[in-house]
Amino acid sequence: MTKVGFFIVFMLELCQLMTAQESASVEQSSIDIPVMNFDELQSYLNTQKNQLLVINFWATWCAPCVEELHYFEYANRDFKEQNVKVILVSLDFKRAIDKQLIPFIERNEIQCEVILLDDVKMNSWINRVSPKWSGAIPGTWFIDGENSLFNEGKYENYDALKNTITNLQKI
Amino acid sequence: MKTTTKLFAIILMFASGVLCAFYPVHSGYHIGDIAADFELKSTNGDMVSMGDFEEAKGFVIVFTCNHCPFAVMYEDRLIELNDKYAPQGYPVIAINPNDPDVQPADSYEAMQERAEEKAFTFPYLFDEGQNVYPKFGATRTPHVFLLDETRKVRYIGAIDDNHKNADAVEEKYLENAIEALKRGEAPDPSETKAIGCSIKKK
Repeated sequence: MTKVGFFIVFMLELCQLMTAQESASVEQSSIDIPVMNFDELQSYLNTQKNQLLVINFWATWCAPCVEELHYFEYANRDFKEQNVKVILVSLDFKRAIDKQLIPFIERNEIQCEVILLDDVKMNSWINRVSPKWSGAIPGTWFIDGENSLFNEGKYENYDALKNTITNLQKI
Repeated sequence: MKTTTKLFAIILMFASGVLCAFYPVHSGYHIGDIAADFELKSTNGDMVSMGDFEEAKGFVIVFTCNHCPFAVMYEDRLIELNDKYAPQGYPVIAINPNDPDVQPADSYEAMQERAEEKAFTFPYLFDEGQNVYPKFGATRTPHVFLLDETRKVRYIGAIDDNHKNADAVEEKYLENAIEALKRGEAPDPSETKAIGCSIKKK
């Protein structure tokens, strides 16, 4: 029990530390979007597996993605202290980072971590996310340790997303 | 015991209840299914069916649209494919599956404009009422279904393996699949995946 308590405190500290870093970078208004191929994204996610990961695949030009994006912002805010991390994986084009992606993040005051996935070998990496994914966006990937879950399509409301996260937390 | 119970709970959660709620059973055509003909309005006003192509040895049915950047990136490649393979008996038929009430850029009028602008050499059809794309099981644009002479589905998926740069393509999935059919062989791979825009419906 003490061990669990220690772990939770440790995670909270870690979250706060990361939050502090994030807000620091926002204050400097120099948003830096890491660009990764799928292997790099996978390696990065592996370092984050000590929490429930909620990874949303989206793009600024994808209307249903943009419509549901604020649910992920809410989740990031509401579950931040419950060992849940929301990552927005953008499939925008690399050349659009400065002209579209960063202005979008600024305009909408996006607080979630944003990573740009730049990997044309889609036929190989889509199945590595989930064999159930057809490739249509939006799509959301939940990783809880060694288990993962994929939801293709848009969340109609915040409750739907929230319920999924809450159910996964119960495991 | 506790661990076993927890493990069981995890397996149950991930394998049944949640999965069922999340993953609709894949509907639409699988490899080997015979595709039903359709009759849809082309941008030039004509109604188009597969049956109109009496000499066809197969069909390249592409669900595509105006608004999706991934679809736009493949427009020139679709023209090239049609110019190369229509004379060999494998015409391209493009179908816009989106509901224009949800995505106004994919209205019939906008399709007509785009078809003229790009001088499409293939019919660009409007899936009015959205009855055709669910039969195929298309989920995104672009999404390709290659049929043989008997309208049997032989290949489903992407056009090639580099949406960004036609010159950097390493595997021309669709062309390779057509070539396989010409040789009387089964396309390999018969299914591929690519990121695309979800089909817009109410």
